[in-house]
Amino acid sequence: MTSTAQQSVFKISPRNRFAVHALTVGLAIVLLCIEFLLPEASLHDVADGIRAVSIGAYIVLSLILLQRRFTSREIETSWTVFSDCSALFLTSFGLVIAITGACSIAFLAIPTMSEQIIDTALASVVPPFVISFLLHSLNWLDRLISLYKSSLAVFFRKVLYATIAFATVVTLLQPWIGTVAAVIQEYTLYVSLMAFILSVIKLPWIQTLSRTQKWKALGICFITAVLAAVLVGTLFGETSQWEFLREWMEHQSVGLSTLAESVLSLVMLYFLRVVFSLALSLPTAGYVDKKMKEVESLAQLSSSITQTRDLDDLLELVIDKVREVCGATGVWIEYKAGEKQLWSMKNVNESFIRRFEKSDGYRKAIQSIDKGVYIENTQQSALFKDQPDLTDLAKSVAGIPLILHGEYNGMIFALHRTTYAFDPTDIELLRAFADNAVIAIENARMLEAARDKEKYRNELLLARQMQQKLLPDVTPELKGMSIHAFSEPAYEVGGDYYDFLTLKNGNTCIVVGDVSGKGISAAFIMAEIKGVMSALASSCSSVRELIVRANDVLIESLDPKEYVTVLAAEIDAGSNTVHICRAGHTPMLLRTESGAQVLQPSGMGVGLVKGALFANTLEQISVQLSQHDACILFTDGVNESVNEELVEFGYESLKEIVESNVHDNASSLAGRIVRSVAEHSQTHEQHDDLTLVVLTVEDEVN
Amino acid sequence: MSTFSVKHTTQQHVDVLSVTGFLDAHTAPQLEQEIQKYSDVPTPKIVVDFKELDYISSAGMGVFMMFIEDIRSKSGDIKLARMQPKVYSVFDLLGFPMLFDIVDSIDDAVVKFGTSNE
Repeated sequence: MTSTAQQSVFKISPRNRFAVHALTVGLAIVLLCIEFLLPEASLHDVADGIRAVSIGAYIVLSLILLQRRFTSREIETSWTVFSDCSALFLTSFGLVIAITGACSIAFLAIPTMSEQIIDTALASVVPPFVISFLLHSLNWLDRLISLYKSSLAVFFRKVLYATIAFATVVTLLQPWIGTVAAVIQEYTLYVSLMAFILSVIKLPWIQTLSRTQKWKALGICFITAVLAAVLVGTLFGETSQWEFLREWMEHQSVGLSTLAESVLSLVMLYFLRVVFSLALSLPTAGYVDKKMKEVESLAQLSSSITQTRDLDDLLELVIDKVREVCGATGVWIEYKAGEKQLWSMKNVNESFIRRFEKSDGYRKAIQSIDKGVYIENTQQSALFKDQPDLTDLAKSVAGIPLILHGEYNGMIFALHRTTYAFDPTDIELLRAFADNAVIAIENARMLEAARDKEKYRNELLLARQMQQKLLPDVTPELKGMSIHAFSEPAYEVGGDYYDFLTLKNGNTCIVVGDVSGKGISAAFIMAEIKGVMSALASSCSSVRELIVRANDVLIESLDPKEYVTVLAAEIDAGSNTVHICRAGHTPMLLRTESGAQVLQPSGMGVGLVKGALFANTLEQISVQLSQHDACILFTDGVNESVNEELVEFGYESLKEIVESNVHDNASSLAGRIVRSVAEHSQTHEQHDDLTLVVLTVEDEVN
Repeated sequence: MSTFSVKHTTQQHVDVLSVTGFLDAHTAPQLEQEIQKYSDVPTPKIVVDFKELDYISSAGMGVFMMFIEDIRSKSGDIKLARMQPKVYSVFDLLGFPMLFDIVDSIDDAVVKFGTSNE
């Protein structure tokens, strides 16, 4: 029950423990010195004063030391409080006995000592230990009572503190106000007794002790109660041999005497009360212990749940806990995780499970998914008839369902080699266990899924970077012309492609392509197109040849439903001519002096049809460019980008921009178009990749 | 968000598939399955009615390419009918009119099947 690693907030540090004992011994020495060094008659008042001050200082210091607590965050258990305080109390009491005995023997051994001197010496040495006893008891009492936090207990503590404070003040002032203090003596005693009796109606901390702890506590409480009773008798009884003690105390201070009497009475009452309660709870201690262990196991599982994030580790942990709780010889878990089925087992082999799954017992368990199943004696059960291979190993079988939000998620099976191995409380506990475990497993599973998703995302980002590298990072420098390109996939990766290639004749060729479909599959094809085009370009003498040959290669590798549309413009810088081919692609926009026009030479998409049919339908047109002319090559992400009302950007808007910004160079015209498209579709998520290549003829030409 | 559906009718032994809504990468497999079903005969005769189709994406058009070779090898055909101008322009850009018979009414398509068959 008590974990050694656990440090109670109530625990008194070893240093404080030592300091309190040292203070007690110190006080005894001081009092002894006063008694012998100061002659009685002349300095009577001074001696009394010093005595009062040292006792007062002792009480205050001891209380401070005893009240100091560790700032550890661990939660205290009643046993740590009990054992800690009782240890302090018992050592303190041991010291009283030891020192009194030692002193008596020492004084008696010196023959010149008169009896009066011995009495005086004892009268100064013993009382500090009585005070120490009182303080420790008080402290102990206070802590035990504060274990049960109720308004009554809080009130009692306040009364107790008030009494102590009052008694301390009276102790300090007694040499001067002796008569007044005496009046209040009775009153204080009764008030604290009344408050106390009311506050100890409940003693819940006793229930939290284990059986052995209860036995120990019973012994300690009995001794304490008896000691307190003896002390009350000797100090305040009518006929006491230890009269001198009471006399000394009253001589020292009426307040101290009051304190001693009330505290001793409280201790006696309280510990007697505890003794009775302990005696009553002992017969059921074993059962309570078991229940406590169950609760503790549950609590431990719950705490492991938050610490174990790995799904496999968690399943193993759950199995270990199940074995620990019900003492099963073999345990396995089957868990339905979406499409998958998770397995984890211990001390059971897979072939056994496979055979078990074919039994009626398994079917019965799976059918009673709300309550589970428990077969105490499989050999007698009809469910395992004539299956000695199963029943020899598993004489008791329990199946506990894992249910989350009312849905069956799986089952924990526990086996034992003996019959009647699990009692009803075990099954009850396993069920509670399963309820916790299923939440933990589901959490771990979701965490794992989230991690996978994150990993997938990272892969995609990497793919995006790779794809960006496939696109050219510089635009070709052509005399009298400026070129600018822009490309943005709708998702992480896309199927848009553009490139600047050099043909066999030295002409630069702008190629823009759009792969059917989107996402990763499109991205792969895009990479393929890039490779094919780059490889063919240097051996082709015209843009038309390039596309026809690319079709021949790609038709073999592309799936029938996959195709690529391509728009290519070969620039003959010498003659300022562009040769344009369009293979199923969005038409090109050409701006000349007379305005912007859509150029749509005929041609089918690449990858749709073979050889001659493709080549025969692919038309090449040529355009002579002059100053301020512009060619805009783009993918349908530009003209088909839609706004909230699903209105497309369209060719007209594009024409308008191109016509009204004649003096723009390629880069500013491209920027203008991209901004307009973005503005148009700003409230609507982009669903298509967008690529744009602009070529403008500069002022210097001609 | 996008809705798509295919309805099947027959008209003089010709399978008419009427498509409605948005045909894109997500909905294309639906049409794929339908066409698969009716191309699994000795001589498939399929008319796809585009009257109610509002949008077709590149992936949507790919579906027709999947079957055309196989169907023509069995001397059948897929004919495309009643396209909205916007949908037609998409087919036109890609060069589909050179590959497919695109007609204005289902009856035309059915009639064409009849004549080619005899």
